[in-house]
Amino acid sequence: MGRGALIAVLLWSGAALAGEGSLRGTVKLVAVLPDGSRRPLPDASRAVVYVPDFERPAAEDAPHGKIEQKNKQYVPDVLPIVKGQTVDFVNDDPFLHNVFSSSRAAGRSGMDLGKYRGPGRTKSWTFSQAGIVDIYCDIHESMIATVLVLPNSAFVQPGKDGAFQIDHLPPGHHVVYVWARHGQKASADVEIRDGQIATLPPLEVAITPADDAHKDRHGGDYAHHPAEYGN
Amino acid sequence: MSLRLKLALAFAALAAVVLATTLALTYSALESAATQKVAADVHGAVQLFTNYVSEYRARTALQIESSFSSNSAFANELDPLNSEDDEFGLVSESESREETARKLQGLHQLIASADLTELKRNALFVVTNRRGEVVFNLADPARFGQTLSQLPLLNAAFSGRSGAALWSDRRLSSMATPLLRRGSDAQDDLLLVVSQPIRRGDKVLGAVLLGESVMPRLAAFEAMNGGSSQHATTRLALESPEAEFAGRDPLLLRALIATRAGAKDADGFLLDAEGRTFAVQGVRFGADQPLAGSRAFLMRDVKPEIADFIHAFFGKTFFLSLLGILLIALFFTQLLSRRLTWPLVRLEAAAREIQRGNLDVQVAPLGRDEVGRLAETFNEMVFGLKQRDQIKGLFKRYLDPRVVDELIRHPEKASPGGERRVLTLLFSDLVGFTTASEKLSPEELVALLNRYFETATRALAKHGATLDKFIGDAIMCFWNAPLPDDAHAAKACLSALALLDVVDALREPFRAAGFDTFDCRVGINTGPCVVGNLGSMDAQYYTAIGDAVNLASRLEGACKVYGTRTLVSHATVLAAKDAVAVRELDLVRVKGRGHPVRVFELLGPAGTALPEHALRYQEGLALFRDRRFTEALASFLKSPADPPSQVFAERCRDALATPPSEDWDAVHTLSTK
Repeated sequence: MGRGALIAVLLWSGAALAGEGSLRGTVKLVAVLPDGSRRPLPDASRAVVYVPDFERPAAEDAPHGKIEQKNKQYVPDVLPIVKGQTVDFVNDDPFLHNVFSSSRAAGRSGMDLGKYRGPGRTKSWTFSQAGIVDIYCDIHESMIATVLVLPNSAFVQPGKDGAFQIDHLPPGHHVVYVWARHGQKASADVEIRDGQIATLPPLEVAITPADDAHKDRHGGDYAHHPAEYGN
Repeated sequence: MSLRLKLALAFAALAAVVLATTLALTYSALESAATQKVAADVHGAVQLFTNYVSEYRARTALQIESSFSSNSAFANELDPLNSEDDEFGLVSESESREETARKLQGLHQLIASADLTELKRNALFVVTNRRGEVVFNLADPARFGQTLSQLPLLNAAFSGRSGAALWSDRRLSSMATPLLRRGSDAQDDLLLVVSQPIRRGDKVLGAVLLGESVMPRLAAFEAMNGGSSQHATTRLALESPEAEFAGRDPLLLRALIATRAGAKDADGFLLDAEGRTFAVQGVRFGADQPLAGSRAFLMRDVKPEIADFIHAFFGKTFFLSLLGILLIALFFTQLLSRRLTWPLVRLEAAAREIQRGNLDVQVAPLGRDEVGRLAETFNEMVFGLKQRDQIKGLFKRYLDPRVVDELIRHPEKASPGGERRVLTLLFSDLVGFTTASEKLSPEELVALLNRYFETATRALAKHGATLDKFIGDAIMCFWNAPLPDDAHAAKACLSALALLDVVDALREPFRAAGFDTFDCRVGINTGPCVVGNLGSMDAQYYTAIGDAVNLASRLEGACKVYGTRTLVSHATVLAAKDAVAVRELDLVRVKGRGHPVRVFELLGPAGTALPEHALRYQEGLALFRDRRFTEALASFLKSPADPPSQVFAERCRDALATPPSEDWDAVHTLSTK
């Protein structure tokens, strides 16, 4: 790292120190049942609250995110990361798994890590484009994970009670988004002032029941229980 | 005009009226049926159209499924276009536009180059992604990327359902993005537009809008429903919920637009136009139907429909059938009128027979109706006529006309069979007839006799005599039968005097004609007889029989003995009371009868003074019976012009010459008949 880089870091940290604000609020997940009735969900911790309207990509040496394949489940199944960050997909199961995505943010030709057998084997993917990436397994239809590739690190997963706080926000007008699986779009406008903590009214996210049906890696239907994969 | 013809005409008229009424009723029923059929047909049309919409939806759904949803290459391309990144603020403006445009172009080229002949045949074919961005539009295959928003059909597709709607030409042309394929004429037409979601599993990737003109469907339906009739015009029109119409018939469209402006509801009305009557029926698509809110209208020319129905009902031989019905009706009319009139004809024939004098006519029983009763009455009438005729025929020749009338009025008075009754009988005979018959030709004799009988019977009838018979020149008649007459004896005596007058009046003319000695003798007796109709069924006459009759006849003959013109029995004189003046002539014994009969001579009507010789005769008779013959002879000889006195003078001489025995009773026994 040369002198220029040092200056840049100083400038950045200085700016950060010079003008930053915080945001505080609550997320409420409400299930909307087919009959129209609404039922609050007890755990809001799987939602992601983020402010995507400014770019602050991850540093090259930023730590990898990690999603394990355990008992035919992606754990965690929701992973927010910063654009440019790499995610390791660790197969902990003693049989073949595959990791693929057709989502736009996974790249033009999609993402496909191929099939690999665990336990302990890891494959990685660097997400260079912001977006919601649905990740599936070409072998096990029920394995679903979502990687939220965000343009900056201004995100947080709230606690079970839904309370959250996001720091290091540049002052000015922002739009706060909440993403949750099967959640409707939920966003709020907020004005961040230097050195202050803005408080939002509760953000309610309607969760509508939906299945997670999807096509396989080739756009076809899953062939159930193929013998070759021995699951 | 004969009654039969009148009846036939009346029946024919009745039949015609019934037929006409039946036809009118049938026609009205058919009209109602045809109108109802139109109403039913329009429901059928709606059903058919609904089925068609469902079928179209199902077909397009299948096409979409096979062409897009199951096409992994397409789905893979389309799916990322629908990422929620945008919604969740994760795509930068520049990045999004560039990426979307690139992907859209790829998809567009994929569809444009694909062999989607079936789909591209539609008048409207649009593919959008999940956000309503046009991926492919048949109206402008070169352009893509425009956003179709706020289309309920697309929203339906995005929520995973299929939708259907009727869009008008106007509505399509008012859209920012033209959707109708170039060259598709939508004048007076509606487009059936369906939307179908493109899915991957339950995830909706996009939507397809497909549309085709309803007109060919309408035409097909019209052809199908007009098929039963060559003449009936069937027109179907559809109305979109936005009150836009589609249909081939300007008349119907005009009418519908007019009704929309006027009445609230155009369901079911009759439209008179171009000299025809159309039944128009409307029906709304139900809420559970795909085109809810739309309406279908069916218009049909009703009259040919009815004509066809009648034609179908009666078959090709309609007029032959009609003719047959008329002929049969005519036949039965003839039969009926003939049946009704033939009794009258028979009665007429019978009446003609009666007119000719044949009273033996009998009309056979003709049933129990009015005509039958008439025939019965007719028969009774003939019977009555016959009876009258018989009575008249029986009595008019020898009865007083008053008696005949009385009998006709009260036929029961002439009791049939014999009847025992006291009668006064009169016998009259001509004197000098035998001599005259030798001298005169039979023709002259008959002419004279008839002249005498003519006058004599008139005189007798005048006194109420019942003329029994003529025996040669003799007349027999009697009184007190058949009608009772208390004065029978008196009348008989008076008529005998009249008869003598007749003879006296005729004597001179008869003498001139050659009947030299013309006189008559009359015998009268009163006594019990049997009187009645005697004879057989073929020939019978009314007569009296009995001893009294014989005695009357004997008395007539006995006139010769005494030289008198009349000889009347004591019974008659007693019965006649004082109606006539008489003198006793003698006591006579008739052969076969034990008791002697006192006989008298009629001298004249009551009050006639007894002449001298009659008084002397009384004296002489008394002396004679007292066996004082000499004195009696002297008394009798005093009346030389009185024949009975001469007879008794002779008897006195005989008695003087040979005196009678001790038991002589002065009774003269009549030896001659």
